[in-house]
Amino acid sequence: MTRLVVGLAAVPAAVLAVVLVPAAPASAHPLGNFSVNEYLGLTLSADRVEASAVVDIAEIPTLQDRSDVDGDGDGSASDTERYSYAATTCADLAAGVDGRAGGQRLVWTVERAEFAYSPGTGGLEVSRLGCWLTAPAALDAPTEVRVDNRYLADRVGWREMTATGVGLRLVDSTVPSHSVSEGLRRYPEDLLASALNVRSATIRVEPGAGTGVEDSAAVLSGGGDPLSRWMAAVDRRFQGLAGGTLTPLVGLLAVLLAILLGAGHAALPGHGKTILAAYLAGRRGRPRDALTVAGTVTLTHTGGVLALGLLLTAGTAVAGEEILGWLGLASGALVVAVGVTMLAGLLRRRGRGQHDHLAGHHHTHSHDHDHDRDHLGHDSNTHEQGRRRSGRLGLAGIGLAGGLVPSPSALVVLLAAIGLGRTGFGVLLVIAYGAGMAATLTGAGLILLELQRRMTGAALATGAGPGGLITGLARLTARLHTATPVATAGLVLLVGAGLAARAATGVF
Amino acid sequence: MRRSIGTPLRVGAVAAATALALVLLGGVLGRAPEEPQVAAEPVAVTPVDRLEQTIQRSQERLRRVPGDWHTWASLGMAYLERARITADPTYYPKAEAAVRRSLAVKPDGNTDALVAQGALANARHDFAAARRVALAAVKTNGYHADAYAVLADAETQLGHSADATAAVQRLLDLRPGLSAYARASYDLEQRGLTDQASDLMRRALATAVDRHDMAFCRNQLGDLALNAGDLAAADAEYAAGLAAEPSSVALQRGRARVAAMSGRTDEALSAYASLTRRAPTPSYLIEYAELLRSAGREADAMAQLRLATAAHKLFTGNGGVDGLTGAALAAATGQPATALREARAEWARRKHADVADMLAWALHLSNRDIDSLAYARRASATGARSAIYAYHLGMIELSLGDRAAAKQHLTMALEINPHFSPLDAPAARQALANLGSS
Amino acid sequence: MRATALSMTSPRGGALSRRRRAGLILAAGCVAAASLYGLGPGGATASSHREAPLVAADPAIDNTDLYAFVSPERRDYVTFIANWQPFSEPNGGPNFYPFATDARYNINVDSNGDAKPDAVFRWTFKNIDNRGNSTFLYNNGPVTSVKDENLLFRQVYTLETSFNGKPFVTRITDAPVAPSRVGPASMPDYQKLRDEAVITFPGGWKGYAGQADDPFFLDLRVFDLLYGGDLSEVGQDTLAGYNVNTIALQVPFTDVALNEDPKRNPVIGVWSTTERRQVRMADGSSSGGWAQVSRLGQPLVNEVVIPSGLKDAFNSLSPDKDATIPAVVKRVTDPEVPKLIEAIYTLKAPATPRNDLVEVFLTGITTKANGPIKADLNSQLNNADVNPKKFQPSEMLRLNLSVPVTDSPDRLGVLAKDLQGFPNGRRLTDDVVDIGLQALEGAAQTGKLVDAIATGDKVDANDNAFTGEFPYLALPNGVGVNTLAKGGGAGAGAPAPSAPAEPSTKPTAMIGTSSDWVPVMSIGAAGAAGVGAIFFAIWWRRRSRVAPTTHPDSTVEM
Repeated sequence: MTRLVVGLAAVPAAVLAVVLVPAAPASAHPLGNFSVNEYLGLTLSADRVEASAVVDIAEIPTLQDRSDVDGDGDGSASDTERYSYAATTCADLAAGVDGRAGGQRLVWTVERAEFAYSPGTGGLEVSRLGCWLTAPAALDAPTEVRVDNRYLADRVGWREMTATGVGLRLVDSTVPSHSVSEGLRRYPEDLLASALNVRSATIRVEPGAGTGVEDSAAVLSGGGDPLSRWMAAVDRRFQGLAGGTLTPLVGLLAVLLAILLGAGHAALPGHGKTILAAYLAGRRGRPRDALTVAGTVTLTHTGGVLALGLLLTAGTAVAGEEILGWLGLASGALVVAVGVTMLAGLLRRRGRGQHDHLAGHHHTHSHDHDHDRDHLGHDSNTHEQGRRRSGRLGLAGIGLAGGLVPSPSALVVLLAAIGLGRTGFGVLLVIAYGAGMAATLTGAGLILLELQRRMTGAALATGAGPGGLITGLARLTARLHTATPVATAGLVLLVGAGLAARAATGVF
Repeated sequence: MRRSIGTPLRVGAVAAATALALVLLGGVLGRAPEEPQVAAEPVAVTPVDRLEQTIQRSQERLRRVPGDWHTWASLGMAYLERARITADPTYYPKAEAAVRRSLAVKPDGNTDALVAQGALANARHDFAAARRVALAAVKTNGYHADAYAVLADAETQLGHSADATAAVQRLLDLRPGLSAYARASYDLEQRGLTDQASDLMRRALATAVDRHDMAFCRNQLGDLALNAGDLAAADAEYAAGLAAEPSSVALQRGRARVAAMSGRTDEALSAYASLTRRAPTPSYLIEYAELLRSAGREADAMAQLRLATAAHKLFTGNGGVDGLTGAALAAATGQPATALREARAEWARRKHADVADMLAWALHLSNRDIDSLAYARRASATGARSAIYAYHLGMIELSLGDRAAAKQHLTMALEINPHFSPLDAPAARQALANLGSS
Repeated sequence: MRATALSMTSPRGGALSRRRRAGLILAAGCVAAASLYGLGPGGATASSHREAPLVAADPAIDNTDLYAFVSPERRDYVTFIANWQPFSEPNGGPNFYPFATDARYNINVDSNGDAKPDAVFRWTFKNIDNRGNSTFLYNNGPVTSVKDENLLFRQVYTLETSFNGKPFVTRITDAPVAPSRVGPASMPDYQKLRDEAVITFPGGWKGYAGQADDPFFLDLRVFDLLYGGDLSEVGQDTLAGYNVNTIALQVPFTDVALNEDPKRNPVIGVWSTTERRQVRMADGSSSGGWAQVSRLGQPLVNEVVIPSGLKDAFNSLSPDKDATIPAVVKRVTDPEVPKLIEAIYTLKAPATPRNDLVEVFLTGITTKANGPIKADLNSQLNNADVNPKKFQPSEMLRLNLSVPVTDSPDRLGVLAKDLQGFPNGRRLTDDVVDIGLQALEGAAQTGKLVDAIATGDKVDANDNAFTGEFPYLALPNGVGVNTLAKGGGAGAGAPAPSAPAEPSTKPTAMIGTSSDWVPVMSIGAAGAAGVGAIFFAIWWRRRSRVAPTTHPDSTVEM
């Protein structure tokens, strides 16, 4: 057999089958001509574990197995032959999948088995085996589930596993919930990644809310950047707290954490800070305004979360993602409406010709105007009140818009708490969350206002001020304030339109 | 006034302090339980999969520093190694892409990428191209050990034995280590110096740290022993290799051969059945078919040969070239004309001793023994101690009527390895018996 | 109303604006706290430690570092420390890292400047293997001594020396090698094993061979500079947590100085090499001489100065051949790194030819070679008994034994006026990356540190402290480097089935479960401060409303 002993770098000849050669024809099996790829998708529910397995078999192994399929040796694989082969092979596969739920072995039954051929390269066929397995399991308490896939472990090929929960929360899972290969239909090409080789999954489950919200939480809070991932991790921790043993200390901590989370989430993009900024800038707002918006946002948000949470627990038929999409759309529309109102008001006032005077007047004041006492005798009192009213309405609108889209983490916490029978605690957490959001928004608004005031103050003080640039900027801003409040109203409009558009793309 | 400022300050401070205390407490409470201490148990040390570590490190590094042409080339080489070890051909396109990327970043003076290109060409059996590239690499950097390794492989397969030996010697001088020792061992084996070949392979084994390297060395040592008929020693080597790397198909094939040569045919057949499932290469399938044939299961043997033909067709359909396997397949399936055509074409490409031997046998199967004799002699002239070469030469001489020479060579074949082939060894014995009786 | 006129002048003083200012600060504090929270943790938990240059699959002979310094606790003795096999990961398998038994490990000393060794210290190793052929059991119980029978695999070494070309003399045979540390359970008291491996020779020499914590500290990402990266991502000791195989030796000055006179000839040049036996195939594999397969003098020369096309040549050649390779000399006189730094940081590269680098790298800092650095520090040319005509520029680590040991070593060595430090020899605490960068930017010649790269790789000390006595290196790490990031590999006790399966990637867990309370706490603290600030703001507002100020300029305020 000396002639078959090749040098170090030489490979058994036909192995080179796949030797890439760029002109490889499109094949359903880009992973090679003798690989056996496996995908195992687990679905965990309170009373059972379901596994859908797909085995994608390349040309040569398909050929090798053909004699097993073709029982009567007539050269063709009839439907009955394929079905019985599928049944037998799925039984083998089930024997190779070793699952344990909380230490108890999972006993699989094959519910459905399929086996089919499809064309491959070189005039050969590839084949695909599909097995649907189910095993009873008691997952109504927090449990750890471990599944090892040992079917045909020695064969070269892709090994993938995923896990999702129905009526259960997957607190910790070593495998993702979505298949990167879409169930072995499209293999991702990445020069810097080796083929997936996931042969076991360890999942901790807890009874809890449906997956709809989980998915949306994951969708919304899961991002590629470290910030989102970190937030997601802390969210999970929070959820863990809410769902764990409830001692007074843990409860206090959870409340505190809720406040902080709310503050943090409000610090992230969204929740109307941009709009708030634009609004306040355009309206030469007051601290009261900032507080108003913050308060409105909080109330809206809390109410929204509570409403949505109760809605979802009542009827889980609604997909969380969709709802959030619609809410986003509504929020955007609301902001657009506020912008339109601002514009309309401005145009009306311009028509009356009193705007500039008021603008100048308001410029010099550096304190609030909301006290009626201050303006007794002011000749624009009624006008002022009218303006204030529409201003407050506008602010309320901004606040409403900002709070309309509930934060997924707050939603999930509420649902988890409800699921555990601690509705009151869940509501408390949501309120605390809202308080945290209010704090941040207030702070942001106050800062903006103070900055604005500083700048305008500096602009008016001749020569005094932090520096030429800032003075110039302040003067510019002042001029902008007086000259183009319309522009800021337009900005609010645009932002609202953008929000609505983005939400719309998600919905439709 | 002071007091009114102090009180809110105090309140705020108290609030903050309380909050802080709560959080700290919560943090302490919220800690995950400590990992339990591991008891003092015996520490089993399984050899590392260094190659996997290298691949992962390189991938991570390249995501971070995509301009690292050196690591791109190394990654290409690592993918090639992976393809060689696992027989998973999906790594070849990856290797090629990595090498291309390296050359894209640094087109000139990139010896590492050139060497990787040469290794890739070798893997695809394009030995002439590999030789060209390796020579270019050596010109840019005369101290690059891997370039000499690639060159040595190419020259060996092309049949340029003197150049091959020179390249291996240069490699040995530059960097004595596993790759040098292993190539030197093969070179010596091809010249018939099997004892020294074993010594060098043992030296190579001593330097191996990666489990795949250990498995490789053990496999070569096992094959050396097996080809010399020492079944016990061969089995020990294969077993040691499997202890380091249980999933090695080559070692499993070695054990299967040991079983076959020891007469444990059923065990050998089931071993071949499972290993051809894992790595359905034509060479393994042909061996399996031969064993089946010798056990009288002709139909099964033909099924395996059909598989082998399909696999080979896929390979050639993808642009691959391997006349040696093509000829062997054709000979096994009873198509002497095809075998001759393939062997001739391969001989035109490279003048390796194996090809000479294959061509000789193909000519013999086509009843052209006079032409075949020259090639068979040429194969044996290299000095290699090969039972198959001797057997082929003996049968050709027998066919030509040179009984003395036939007897000598057939005896030699059985001396080298009494069970050198499940079908041919009995045939040799039969022929000798016939020779002896008349 | 009247407020308007009065408040034309911006009220800068008074409780009003103070309040407002306070409110602003509080609001800012609250928002800042919340944003800090929102920005995420400062500590990088996600970055990997495995970004190492590819190591050849022959790690046992791979030279990684060489140190030479006057022993601080034995002032007439010089210590050499040479390390091999970097990135030895503790419990990364588990695995262990023996020295190669078919190689020779050498420390060479050149005292007369001809670039040929005048003193050679040579270590060879032998296995004592009680494991049998088919098991890989490293130990079958706790190991409490280097000769413990529970330790199934161990090594011993033989040390030979040759001075001034005379034949080699064996100094010790079968001395114990400190074993690889495989974990606290198997080796509960590694210090004891270390102590047993520290040998005191007759005559006062001290020697040690075995595993140790890798004393080198740097952020390897600095070298991304060579591949299009920049120095923006630095600050992590890439080698933290890894071990190396160490050979250490402490010998008196007189044994290595020229003519045994360290007063007249205080300068020595040191480099370490690994050799493997050559094989001649033509006559059937009889062994020939020894091939040098690895070489190391000054740190980072191979990484930074020698271009990739010459690394192999450099590894194979002995120092006396360095000056004969024009490409090597050219890289020293016209180095690449300053040009890269200039391209990225617009820091002007010093004018070529860089004769100051020739001094630093090839001859030692001296006034006797007509170099630009006007100091006599560490060249063999400064040895009284040296024949300058025989002097050969070469790359090696040069140490002046007469420079007194300082009580407060500076990590920037000679550049910080600490003449005992690198490039005058190399101490364990010298930050050679920063020094090297500074030297490449001309600091050695000007004597002033270059500000733009003053922080260097932002790794200024080793993760483990050095001990005060021979062999000075910290004990090898016993815990895996990547245990936090691992998704749970095989336990230390379980004989791992060597299936190719690895634990899957954990897509969502960026934080190990035992450590995510740290970020929570840190942001909790910040957030608490912010929340407190809110309380303060509200209270303040209420206070001011109850007791209005009497400032004449103030308008009614809430």
